[in-house]
Amino acid sequence: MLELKNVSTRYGQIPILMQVNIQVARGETVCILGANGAGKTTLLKTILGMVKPTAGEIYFNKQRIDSLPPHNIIAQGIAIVPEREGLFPKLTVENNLLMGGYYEQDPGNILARLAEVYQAFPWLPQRLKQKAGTLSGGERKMLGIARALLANPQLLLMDEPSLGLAPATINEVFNVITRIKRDKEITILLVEQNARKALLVAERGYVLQKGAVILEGPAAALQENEIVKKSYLAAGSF
Amino acid sequence: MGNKIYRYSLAGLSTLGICMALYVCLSSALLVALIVIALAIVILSVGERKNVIDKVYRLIGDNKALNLGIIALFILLLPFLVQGNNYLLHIAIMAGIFSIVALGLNFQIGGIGQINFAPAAFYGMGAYTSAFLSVKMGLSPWLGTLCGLLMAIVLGVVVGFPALKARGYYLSLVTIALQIIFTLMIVNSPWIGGPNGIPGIPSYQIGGFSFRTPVALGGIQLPYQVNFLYLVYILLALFALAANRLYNSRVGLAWNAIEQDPIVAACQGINLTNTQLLAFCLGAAYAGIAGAIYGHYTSFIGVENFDFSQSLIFICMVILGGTDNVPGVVLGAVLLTMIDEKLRDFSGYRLLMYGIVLIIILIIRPKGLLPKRIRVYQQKDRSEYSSHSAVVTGGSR
Amino acid sequence: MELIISQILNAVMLACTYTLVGIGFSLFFGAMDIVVFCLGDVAIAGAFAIMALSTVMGVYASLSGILPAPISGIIVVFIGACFTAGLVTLMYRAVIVPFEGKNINASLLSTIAAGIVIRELIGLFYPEGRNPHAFPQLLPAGLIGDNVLLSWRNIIIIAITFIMVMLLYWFVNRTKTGLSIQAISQNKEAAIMVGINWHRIIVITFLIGGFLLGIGGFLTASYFNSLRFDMGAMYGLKGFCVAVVGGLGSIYGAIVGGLLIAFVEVFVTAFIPGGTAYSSVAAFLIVVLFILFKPEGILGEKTVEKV
Ligand SMILES: Nc1ncnc2c1ncn2[C@@H]1O[C@H](COP(=O)(O)OP(=O)(O)OP(=O)(O)O)[C@@H](O)[C@H]1O
Ligand SMILES: [Mg+2]
Repeated sequence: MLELKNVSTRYGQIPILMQVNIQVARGETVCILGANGAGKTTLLKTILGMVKPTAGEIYFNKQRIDSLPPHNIIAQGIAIVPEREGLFPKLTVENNLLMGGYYEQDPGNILARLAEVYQAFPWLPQRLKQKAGTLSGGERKMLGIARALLANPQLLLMDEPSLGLAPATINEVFNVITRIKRDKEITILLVEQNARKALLVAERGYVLQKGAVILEGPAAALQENEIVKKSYLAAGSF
Repeated sequence: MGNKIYRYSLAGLSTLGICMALYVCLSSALLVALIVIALAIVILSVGERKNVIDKVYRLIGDNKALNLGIIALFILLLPFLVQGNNYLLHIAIMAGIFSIVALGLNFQIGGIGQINFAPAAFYGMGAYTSAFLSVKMGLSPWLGTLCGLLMAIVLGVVVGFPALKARGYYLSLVTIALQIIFTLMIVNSPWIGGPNGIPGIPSYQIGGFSFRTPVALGGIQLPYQVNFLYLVYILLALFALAANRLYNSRVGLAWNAIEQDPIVAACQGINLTNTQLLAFCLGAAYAGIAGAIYGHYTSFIGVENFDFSQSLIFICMVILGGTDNVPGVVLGAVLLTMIDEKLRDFSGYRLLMYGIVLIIILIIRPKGLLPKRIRVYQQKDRSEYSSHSAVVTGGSR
Repeated sequence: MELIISQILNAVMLACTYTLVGIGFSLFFGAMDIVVFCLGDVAIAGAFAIMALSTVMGVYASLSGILPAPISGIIVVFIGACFTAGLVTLMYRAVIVPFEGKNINASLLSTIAAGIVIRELIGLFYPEGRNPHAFPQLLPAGLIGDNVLLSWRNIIIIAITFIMVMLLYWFVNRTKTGLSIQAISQNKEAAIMVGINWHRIIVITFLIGGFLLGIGGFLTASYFNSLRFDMGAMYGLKGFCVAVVGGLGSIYGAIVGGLLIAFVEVFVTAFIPGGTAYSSVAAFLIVVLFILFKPEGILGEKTVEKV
């Protein structure tokens, strides 16, 4: 469904991604592991067209998308859960959610999806009129996920959904991810620092280091891999 | 050895070329001047791409004495070159006066990165103080000029204080407001002539010799403008050298640090208050002197010489020439003064063309004709050139 | 008492003329983080367009032949506002886009230069452009009661401003495009991430802001009953002041800021001997004080300086 072929990007003169090859099949959950600054967020932005690759090709549903502007790419059915600061702080929670459904023309569909989202996040309906900027960090993160779900995307990009959350909340978030996978047959590209959790929900994974893919394989295999064990599953990281 | 002579003459030739280009601009019609400027822009752009400009800079920098000598000679000979044409000399004087103001303004725009929209108020403060004291109080113009300088500094503090608290658009609004208040106050103050200005301002005197008497030099009768030409350019040379020294000193570095990020600069131990106020006061001092000289030169000042649009012109000079680059700022001031004067032939269209030329230049050279240079930390030992670190400061924000 | 009431009315009307241009500043600043310095000139250009339509071009006269006068008036003003909407969008393309993300100072200067160009084009090419013109009386002049200030014209000026602000409120808070404008001004990156076509929304913002500017220019010219090609410079500055006092980026702040500045001006003129000459001085002083002591404006949110 999504295919990156030899994609390289740079900010100014500094290369960030180098010849990255990634494939995600329909219905699959793929996770990307990498240290801080490895280029994971940049990778997602490149897929969305917010950063233009200097070389390589990106295909979505067999169509080449790397030269399209972001809104055209997103309109094809990709949504993202942003890493941080991804909300509109002065808009209400409700309007933030509705911005997720930017490309849905049918109000009926939006209502149906809202109902689904409220089921996943039962605290949301009471907070609809609150300004998003006044939510707690964890609530914001979940609102970000809810907003992405409202787009009913074919491909969901998640940029560290567990970032800055308490362990209990992290469990909740991963439960939601599992539920989305089960119920909606959605394709997920998950970027995570929490490798243990990520490798549990994902079928396959890639390890990104300094902008290059150094490892890839089924999640189970990665869990056993020495490099992954040492860098991402070391004692203490849950 | 031969190489050295070759480089020496090359440096001289480039400076001479620049002088001649300026002379052609000065003495010919608008169209020719614009063509020369367009050519210069093309040469600069191509040169930058091919890294020739850096070499020229080094060439000129290595032979400072020679090049300053050529420029001095050029100014000295200018009255003869234009055959005593007093209008052309007038343009040259105004270019010098405006250069001084622009150099002062550059301390704020180029130094601490704050656009001050009130340079014409500083300039006017110097002019009005000196003119008032010498016309109404009978003070000697020299003393008047000194007082003008001091009063301008006072105004510099007044404008500089807000800059300590506000930045960016807010500061621009504060300075615009102060500029407009300044002009409104002048218009509403009959004791300094109000809207009618101050006429009959006396000229400078040295031991009975008035600067307003024509002189005969080398058997040629030259108009009185020559006196002012030399006076203004001697001052300009001093001020430009001082500005250059400052820019390369710790003060200049501190200014640029503030431009980049005031909070980080403060964390580095830079005294924000003093350093920023210094930029405003020094700038005001430059403008104050220039204003006082302007009054004593033209013998008449009116509020229209010191209003908001004049401030804009000063800002354009700095930005057009290249912020934080002394030769650039002077070049910008000289070129704009000449273009401005030549546009007077098209009096109705003058401001319109001004606006259009400004937009075009901003689009094709947003960093000015001679952009800011890289700071190079080496002065003493040239052989170590390559081993020294260069730090880029400023740039796009 | 009579005097005070009439002065209050006067101030409210002046505030109306300032508010719309102040909203323009806030709208564009919110959307793009830039201050467009030529807005006053754009607004006055709109007033000139309306004047041209109703005098030299004779559109108003021929419309009045077939339609009732108020409707032809509305049509003429609408066309004028559309003209400024186009003009400000053209400004965006010509003098803002080239400097996008590059250098704040360059875009600041280019918009100032654009203001000069607009002003001079009017002065040069409008018939008798450099002379003051009496603005055509598109608003009915009759009095309501016997207070000189309580005329239909003044009531309509206030009503139009009110309607415009309400429409803007509705648009910005109740429509998808309006919400997108807010989204962009609050978090550009997130706006792009939800798929908002950034460029399109910016152009729409400029069209809307430009339309309001045209109305603002019309109200100003009607309020002063006269029009000069160089009025825009001061009008724009006042608009910027209004936006800053209210809180740059806050649309409702522009209303409050407009009222504050207008009240200061009117009351200095009316109640301080010889105050006429100093009304602008007082207004600008207020602005300076605001920037120094409450830079976030009255309604703007406090921005924490980032370390
Ligand atoms: N706009 C930018 N301009 C310049 N460099 C950038 C920019 N954005 C990111 N970078 C650099 O690109 C590199 C990769 O950044 P990226 O955000 O993709 O990392 P990441 O893998 O998401 O890290 P983290 O786990 O900390 O979120 C970093 O070194 C970062 O400094
Ligand atoms: Mg990241």
